[in-house]
Amino acid sequence: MADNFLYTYCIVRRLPGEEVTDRYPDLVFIEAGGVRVVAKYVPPDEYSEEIRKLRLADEEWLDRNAREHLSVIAMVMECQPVIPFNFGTIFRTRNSLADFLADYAQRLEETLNGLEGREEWAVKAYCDEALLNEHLHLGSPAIAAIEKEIAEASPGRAYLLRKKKTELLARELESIHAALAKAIVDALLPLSEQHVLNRLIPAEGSGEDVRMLVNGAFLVGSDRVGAFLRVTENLAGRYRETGVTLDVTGPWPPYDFVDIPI
Amino acid sequence: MQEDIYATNRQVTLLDILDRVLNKGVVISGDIIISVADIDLVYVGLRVLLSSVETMERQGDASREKSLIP
Repeated sequence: MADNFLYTYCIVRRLPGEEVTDRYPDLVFIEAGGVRVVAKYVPPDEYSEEIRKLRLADEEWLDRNAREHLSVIAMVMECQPVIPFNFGTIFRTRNSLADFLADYAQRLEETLNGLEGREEWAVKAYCDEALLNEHLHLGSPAIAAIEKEIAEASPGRAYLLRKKKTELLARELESIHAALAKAIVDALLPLSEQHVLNRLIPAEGSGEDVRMLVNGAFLVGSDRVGAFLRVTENLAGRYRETGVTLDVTGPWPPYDFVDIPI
Repeated sequence: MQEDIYATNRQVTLLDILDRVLNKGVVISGDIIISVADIDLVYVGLRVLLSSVETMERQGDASREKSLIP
């Protein structure tokens, strides 16, 4: 095993139970600095640079391995807090991993303490632009006023007014997006201990008139998860007719609440 | 398997997973350690794949949502 690399999943305090080792018999547990790393040995030639690049382009390989990475961590975190490793983190030697654990022991311990009894939940909100636009036409006094003006204007003036209306619509849409996003996040804050708003993922060339409004991660006490999910359901119900969809997933390994750059 | 990961009315997609397991957590660089690929490279390389996954998912969402409107 000495020449093999170590593929790492997560850092924990205690050895995972038999339910984990029975399911994943290849796992090894490397101990140093008062914590343990859940890992497995992998042959170095499987992870040469060329092969890694090829594999990342292989959707089937990527899907299988990313899911396995997540599954191992998810199973371990049922019983204790975990610090997850980025997918595909490999240490060259057991010693280099042990050195890392020893160097960061205090930081790792503090992080594990902060994650005790808490879960990461992801909430994404999308809106159907066409539907929102329709509401805007019906509901905005400013738009109604400019439409009335257009109807009564000369052709030249109507052309200019139409341009103005397009700009007005875009501005109103922006402010509605912002207000919806704020309302959704604000409703979830009282039930979460920390939150992170991640970059919105653009709908590149999808041809769909759907836009992401919120890409949030919330750290929720395990005893409040039920209440948190009920709030998301209420929000989904409240905004459905506006064309807003909520997408809730979890519990995830606490990727958004661990910050240990090395 | 991630049957433990809850997702509203659908399966957890590869996009969901990659969105979380990349570029977060313990992010390591330096010569004692290697990663599946350079972090940025992974993200750029996956974006093409991810957007196709995402597109399929959103089309599903949109049609479901529209059917709710009277």
